[in-house]
Amino acid sequence: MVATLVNYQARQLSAQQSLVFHDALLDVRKAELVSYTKLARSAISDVYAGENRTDESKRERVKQILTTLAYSDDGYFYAYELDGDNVVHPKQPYRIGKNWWNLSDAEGQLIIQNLIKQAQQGGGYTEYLWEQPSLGLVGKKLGYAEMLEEWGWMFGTGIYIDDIDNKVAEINSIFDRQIRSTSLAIMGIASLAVVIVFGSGLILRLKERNLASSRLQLLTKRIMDTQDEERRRVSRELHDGISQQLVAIKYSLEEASHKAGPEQNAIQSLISISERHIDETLHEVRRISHDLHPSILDDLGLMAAVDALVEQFRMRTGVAVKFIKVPFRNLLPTDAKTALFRVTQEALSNIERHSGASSVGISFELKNGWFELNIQDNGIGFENGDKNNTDIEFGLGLRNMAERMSYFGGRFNIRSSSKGTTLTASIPRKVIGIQHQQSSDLQ
Amino acid sequence: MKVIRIVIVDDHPLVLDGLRARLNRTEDIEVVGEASDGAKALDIVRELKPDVVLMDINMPKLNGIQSTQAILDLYPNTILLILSMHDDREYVSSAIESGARGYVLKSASADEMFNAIKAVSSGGIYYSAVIADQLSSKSVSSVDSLTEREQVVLDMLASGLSNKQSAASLGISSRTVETHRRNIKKKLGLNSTPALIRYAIDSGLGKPVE
Repeated sequence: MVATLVNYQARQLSAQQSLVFHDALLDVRKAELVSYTKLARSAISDVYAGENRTDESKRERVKQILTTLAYSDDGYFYAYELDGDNVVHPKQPYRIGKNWWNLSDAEGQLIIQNLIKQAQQGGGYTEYLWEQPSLGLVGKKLGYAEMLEEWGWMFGTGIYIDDIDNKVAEINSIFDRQIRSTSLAIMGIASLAVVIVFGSGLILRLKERNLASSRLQLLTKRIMDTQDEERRRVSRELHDGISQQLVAIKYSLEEASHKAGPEQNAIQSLISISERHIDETLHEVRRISHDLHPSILDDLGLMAAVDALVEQFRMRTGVAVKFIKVPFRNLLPTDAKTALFRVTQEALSNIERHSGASSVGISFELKNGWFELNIQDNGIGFENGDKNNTDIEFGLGLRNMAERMSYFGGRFNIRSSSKGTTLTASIPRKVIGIQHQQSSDLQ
Repeated sequence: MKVIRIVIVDDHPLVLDGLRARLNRTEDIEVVGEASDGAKALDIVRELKPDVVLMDINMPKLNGIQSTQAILDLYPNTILLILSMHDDREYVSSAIESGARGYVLKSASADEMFNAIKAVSSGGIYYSAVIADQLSSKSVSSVDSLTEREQVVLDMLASGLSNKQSAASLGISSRTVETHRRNIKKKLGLNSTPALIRYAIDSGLGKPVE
């Protein structure tokens, strides 16, 4: 009974974890740009496709419309001819009529060429540095461009994305105060926010949107943390509570058997059957508890937990694994430890299911201020793997891993070829701090 | 035969009761004391000087591995037998590293438990059969992990504490700290204290917890 209940709970938890909903959130910003562009296109479509004007007057009218379509302080539309001549720029009118084909930003990105290339491929995004009109400062911008085919114009718009980073701290505190209800309710609000954002198009101001999408990102972090915490709690409860009680029951039965004496055959055989059942139940509870959250991670640390994982993997698959550890324990806080453990788990499960690898190398290393996990295999790589029905799940797994790392300001990188796959996940040293707890406990 | 005096350390009262009843059935064994966590275990060991301590692993505050190290640092003649639910190899090797003389599963039969206690109390070592199998399949590992105590000593060294200061703060002798340092150097393949300090600092040790 207990097992079924917990099993069910565990399944529920992992189903939640793979919720597709944060996929959409990451793309909110991009989708925004597209919908602005759509709105702009519909605003000019009458003129652009109209019959009763000369071409020249149509162009003039479209320039006017695009110029007036400003949204918020920094939202505007630009248009260029395919040779790089600017035709519309409401915020920097000095650009109009001049050629900007070779315009590049501080990092050497050929801005206009990139935008034109994206537009010619049917519409696309490009990132570059650009002066932000309202502040007069250079900021990182995400641009989106499409073609007006008939005239050979590229037109588009952009959003400043580092502005968002700067607001995270501010949003953080707002978020903390505002969102403390259940994750379901928050998800409701969040999806509603997305709907509103899409629905109101140009009306909604940039700032509010940024607020919403950063909140959502924090929200997914919180949901993930809550799930990890919940798994841990249930796992602990099973191990420290139910397992111990089962053992205690076993001891009592033994006492009963002792008191009854060896001549009571019927009683003795009943007791020994019960004892066997208890052993089986114990085994089952331990397995479930371990699947939910390996207590070894808390007790002995990441290296020991990965060691156990590797051992199980080796026994199950027969694949050779070389594991290189760092000689320390408890360098990472619990959530970071859990994140790296789950990444390793996910990677090993991918290797088992898709790669056909015959050898795997796992290493942890402290270098240049980073705590780095490296996992490589000699399998077929995921370009060549069986993609039919595993693709979505696989992609989600990778995204989960990347997201888990990003919460710690970490890095996540995966390279795959027909010779194998290499995954790197690292966490910056600033999250690392040795626990002084055991020394103070001893005083 | 001399009666073996035992202290049981376990945070679960039902298990404690069951174990006491089980062990007291044997004439060779006497349960002289009980403790529900590692800190209390230290007190009771100091007071009762038992022959064998049966130590659970999962306990709040100091866990069984840490407690074992703490007890052995102060009373090196005590015999520690780990009694645990875990059959993972890593728990067992951590227990061995911490200085425990044996490892028995809580679900083991009464006879097995008696045998284990008798074996360790007469100077031997004992591992449950399930565990012995696990231990034979040792993984390929580049470095030996430091014990928790060794890591604390290394951290104190990186924080600029002297042998004496570390010893005072841990409540152990300077000589024990020196032994820890020597073992750390051996495990990490380093041959001088400056090299050890550089290694510790490069690894991010010796910083206050934020």
